[in-house]
Amino acid sequence: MPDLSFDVTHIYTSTDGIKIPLVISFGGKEVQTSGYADCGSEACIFSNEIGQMLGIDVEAGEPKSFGPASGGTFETYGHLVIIEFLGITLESIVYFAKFPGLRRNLLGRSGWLSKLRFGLVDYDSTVFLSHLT
Amino acid sequence: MAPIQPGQNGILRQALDLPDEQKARLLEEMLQHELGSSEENNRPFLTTLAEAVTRLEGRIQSRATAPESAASVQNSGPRRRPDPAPAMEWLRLHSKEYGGEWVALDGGRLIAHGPDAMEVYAAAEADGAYLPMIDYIEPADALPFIF
Repeated sequence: MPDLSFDVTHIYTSTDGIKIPLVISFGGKEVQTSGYADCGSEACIFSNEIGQMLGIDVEAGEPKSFGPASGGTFETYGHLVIIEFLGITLESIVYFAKFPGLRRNLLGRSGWLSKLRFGLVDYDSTVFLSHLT
Repeated sequence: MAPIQPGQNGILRQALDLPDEQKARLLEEMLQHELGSSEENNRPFLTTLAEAVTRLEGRIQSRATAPESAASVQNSGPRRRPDPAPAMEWLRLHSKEYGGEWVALDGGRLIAHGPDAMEVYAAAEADGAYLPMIDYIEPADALPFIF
């Protein structure tokens, strides 16, 4: 059996997903919000509104289209931001939705999961995290 | 007062890491609790606690009258972050009442809510709370989320 150890244990209270409180920063502005851990999402995708709150010119970022499970394309723009959560700080590319209305911020593989050791026991509503350096 | 057990060190550290405002509130609550028990042998602890509350309140007061100090903190390395737990608990308890709206929370205090994200954000900025939690609450009748 592998022997895993983690720096952070977090019990989430949300019943609709693995919701993690976070602070996202860009250019000296910061917003406290939340994101959902989403191992099935290839990248971190945040709502357009959060980008606006950070003062980001969303469409000035690196354009990238995603293919949601429901089909079609989801247009976003990538920006380098700082995400702080549960005592861990990451500098990551986050893709902001082109249009307002995304219901959730997604913490996906690139930019989040790939920088962590991540354990999950959903039965106990618990995530275990360590920052890989 | 009972001696501190080894397992309580983490809790103490968490309490000490709280922002001053929350620390003052915590100490105030502890003080009220201890006053309620009014055991004679708690008196030295009560005195210490009361002094700590007074010191913290003084520190908060001086910070409130010197807003430029907040800007200097911003440039002096990692800042203390508000504990998100009260806001997350508020969201858990009140989501059904504010479905389809953005909310701004200062801990467990609702600052503003509404369907327009930027209006809610502006209200939170105007309130002056340090780093309020800004979150969207999904409508109660929203279909289960899949991206």
